[in-house]
Amino acid sequence: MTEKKKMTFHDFIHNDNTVGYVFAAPFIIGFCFLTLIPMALSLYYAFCNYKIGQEAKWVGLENFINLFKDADFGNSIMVTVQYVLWGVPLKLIFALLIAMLLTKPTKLQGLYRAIYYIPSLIGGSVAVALVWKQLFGSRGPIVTMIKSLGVNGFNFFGSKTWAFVPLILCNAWQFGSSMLIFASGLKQIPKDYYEAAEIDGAGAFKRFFKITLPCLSPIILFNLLMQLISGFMTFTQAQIITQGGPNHATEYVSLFIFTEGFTYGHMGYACAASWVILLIMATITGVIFKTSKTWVFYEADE
Amino acid sequence: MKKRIFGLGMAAIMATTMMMPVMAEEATTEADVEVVESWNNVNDPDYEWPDYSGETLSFMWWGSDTRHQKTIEVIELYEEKTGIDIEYEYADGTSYWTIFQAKMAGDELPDVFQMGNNWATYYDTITPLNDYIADGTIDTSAISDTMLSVTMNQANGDITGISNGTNARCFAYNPAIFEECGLECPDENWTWEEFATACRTIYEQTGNPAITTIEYNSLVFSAFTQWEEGMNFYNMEGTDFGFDGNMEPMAYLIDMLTTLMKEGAIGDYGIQNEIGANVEADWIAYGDAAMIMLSSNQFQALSNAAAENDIELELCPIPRMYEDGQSGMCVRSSQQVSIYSKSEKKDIAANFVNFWVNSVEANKILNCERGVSINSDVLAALQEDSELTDATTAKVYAAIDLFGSFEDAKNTSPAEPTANEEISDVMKKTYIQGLYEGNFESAQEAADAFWAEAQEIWAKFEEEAAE
Amino acid sequence: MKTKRRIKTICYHAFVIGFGLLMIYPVIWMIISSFKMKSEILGNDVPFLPTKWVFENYPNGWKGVGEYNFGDYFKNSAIVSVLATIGTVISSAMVSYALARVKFIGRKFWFTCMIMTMLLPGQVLMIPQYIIWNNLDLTGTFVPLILPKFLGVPFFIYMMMQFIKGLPKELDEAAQIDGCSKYQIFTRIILPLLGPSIITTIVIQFYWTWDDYMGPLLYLTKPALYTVSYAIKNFADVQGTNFGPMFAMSTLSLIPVFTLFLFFNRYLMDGVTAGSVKG
Repeated sequence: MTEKKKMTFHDFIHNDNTVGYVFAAPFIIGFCFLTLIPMALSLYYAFCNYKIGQEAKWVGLENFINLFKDADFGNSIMVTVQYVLWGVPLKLIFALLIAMLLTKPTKLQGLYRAIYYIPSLIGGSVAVALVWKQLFGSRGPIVTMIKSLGVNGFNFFGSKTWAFVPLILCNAWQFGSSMLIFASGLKQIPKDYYEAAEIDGAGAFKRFFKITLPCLSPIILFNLLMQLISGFMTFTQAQIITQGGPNHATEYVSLFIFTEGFTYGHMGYACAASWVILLIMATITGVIFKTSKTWVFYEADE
Repeated sequence: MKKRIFGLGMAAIMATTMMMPVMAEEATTEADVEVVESWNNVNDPDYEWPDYSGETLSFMWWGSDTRHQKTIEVIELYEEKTGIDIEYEYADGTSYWTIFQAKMAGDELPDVFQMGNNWATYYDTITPLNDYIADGTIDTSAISDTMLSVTMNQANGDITGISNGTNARCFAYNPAIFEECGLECPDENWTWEEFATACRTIYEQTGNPAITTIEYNSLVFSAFTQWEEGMNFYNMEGTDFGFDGNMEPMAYLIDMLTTLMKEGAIGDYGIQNEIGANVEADWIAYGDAAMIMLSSNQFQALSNAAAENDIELELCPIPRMYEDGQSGMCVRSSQQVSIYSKSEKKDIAANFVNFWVNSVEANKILNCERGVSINSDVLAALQEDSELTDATTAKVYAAIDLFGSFEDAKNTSPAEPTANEEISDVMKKTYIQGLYEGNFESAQEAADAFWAEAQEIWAKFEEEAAE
Repeated sequence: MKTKRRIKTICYHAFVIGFGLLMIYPVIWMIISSFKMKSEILGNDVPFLPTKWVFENYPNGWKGVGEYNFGDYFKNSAIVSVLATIGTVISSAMVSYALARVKFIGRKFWFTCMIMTMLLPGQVLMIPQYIIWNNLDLTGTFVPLILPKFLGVPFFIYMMMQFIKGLPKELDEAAQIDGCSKYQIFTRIILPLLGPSIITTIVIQFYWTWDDYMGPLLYLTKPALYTVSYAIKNFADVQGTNFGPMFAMSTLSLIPVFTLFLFFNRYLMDGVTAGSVKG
């Protein structure tokens, strides 16, 4: 290094490494001071018998061994996977379709978009829980309809099989953020691509598959990953609408972790569960990143 | 144990009275109302308020909007009297425990906080109040021994806090529906068989389930007490189970309830989950159900909601297993105020607690919203005031009085050991509903499977505590 | 041809409006409930419109608890949300530029770290993070809710990265030839072109902060600091819930986020902002 030509201050400041670290500094500082220590601590606790407010006792792999034997944990992963497999595609397709529908230039576009965005603004409020319970409740319009078809004794919130349906619908209904991100992605697609395609006589479907999807693919990747992650971490809706019930049918992993750590006081165990989740998520994310090379199209590919 | 505390208290009172000859003249021996028998009676017109100007104290509680309002008024009253500045914060009953644990982890709990019957879980954060009671800083002259012991650790005699009031898990019913269906209203001695008949009759005549909120765990606990004298689910000290592994009580109860549910006579899990923990959303408030299971201090909120639909409700005990048998009812502390073990202002905190439980003026504001006051002077003053004690409140007072008078109420274990939270969840989530969904052949099988798991959970907590 | 087009347009509007109404039914339900009394909000077979309009829910809710009313809570929410949003935009744009466009040593590592932070369930990080702020003596202030946003929010960093990667690299190269430094490329080329995603960040982050409940619960330790979302949650408890006032305040709480959306949405619509990116 010292043999190298003496670096002037100007060189130093415009060096890629310097520029990179200057711009990335906020994240690096935040990560080191606010995230790294809690993450490291939670990893340490994962190997401990730890209750909040008490000394952590090292127990080695015991928590992990117990996790693999814990049927409730296995169940929570299964129901979460079920939730994600149904919920994420539903929400993304919905968000993309509506986003495209609302790019049609009309004077009412702003109003329309606002209407479709409002549901996302009331988030996890008590109102949502109440409405959802009334809509899907045993006397609500949906169950009444099912009953009129001759199915008796059916209800959503008491059924192990069906309790997740209101939850994924509630999740899909709040597609506003994804829609907005898709909309700004659509806006970024150069207009002349479409113009050129139209001159070439490409139909709407062809334009969608040949232009919209490829140009939007980085955003699709982003939305897919984020929805997967947030789907896996889903907490509020299950907590306010079903409280994990009936019979553990909607006890998603984050609810499991919260209950173990806070309600039962097994924080070490909860941390171990979190790290198992992290490993699962990291694997899934890794696989998606790997395959994304084949279907995500960047303007500025390196 | 109770005696020891009482003895200490008396000795302390005598010691202090000797040191304070002026007060001694007013102080007579027996705990009669109207007579000032201790040096720290906040209701004494000549009470000398300590001057805490410049001091601060912190306080935290959970509850409803109404409770926040009332509590803040009392805080302001105390601030006015003593010149202290109280820093307070509040949350709803669920979120409270998240903040509590965060503050516990940061050694930053407030000096005084509201605590539940789950105090065993947070034992390290609590200052035993025995010394403050003994030296009269917290005046317990108007609180009976029984009431003082509702917040006592039966295993070692530590007073973990002062109860904010007592409540009981019980039933409420709509007499109009019972009469319409030609049924006798539940009395204090009604049985599960009568309950089942009532449910079926009401279902047949109204087409609605008779009850849509049932707290299974409390019922199972009661069932053990009701089954045989001397038996409890947890023992009195909360140090072990209080029965010998005979699961018949649980099997009997869940078999009956599951059968009723399958018939439609009581609300199925779907209905119960829709209502959740929200008493005001229960069908009884709209005249669609005839009964509800609740905590007695929820009765006011429920009655107010029902009154909007012109429905009047009454309280009654949990049905008994046998007529004239054990009631299984338990009058217990609904919650308590405790002093933080790491507080640097324990003396001030104790003075505040003294004011909190004993001041008639303060309790006229609080008006037993947290439970029926354990201070007999306070309760008498409230009952005298017809504006504070409306018909609904009077029903709660009467019910608590009645339940407390049951022979076995004292022998019903109020204990909530550390493992209770998890055992209860397992009981509720897996076994009771599992039978309904056909995961088990019979109620006995479900109950036995539950027992095996409960023992495992218990052992896990034992092990953790031993380490 | 023209009539066919017109029919198509009408169908389009009918569908969008019809489906939109279905979508906002719960919101309408909430707004209408804010004018009802309790028994008409909760019961079975309750009427859609109140039989008696209860306007008192608004003043009753607004007066809050103790000495603080919703005016204070709205002020607190506004302070936290505005500052947190500003912080998010600035820091996330910077970091995303570094990770997407600058080739520096350790870039892949930091990117992995960023993704990792999103993969660990927040429930286990909550307490250790609380202890850090507690040791810094910053609990009971807005700082724990605002400062982290100035240190980059992974969700938005990654989102902006995806947008930056969608921008043609030739733009940078051309600017470099014109004598722009990497810093100038950020301020003059990337930042202006990031417009849509910055607007998206503002709208989403403002709402997320506005709606956040866990943060205020842990860190805002006195009523003087409570935010709207926290105050609304305090209406609900098993001991009884003041539904009318709660829905009244929930409705009011929608107004700022909705207005913000309407204001910024103009920039996300076609034909309003100048020129799209040319490839």
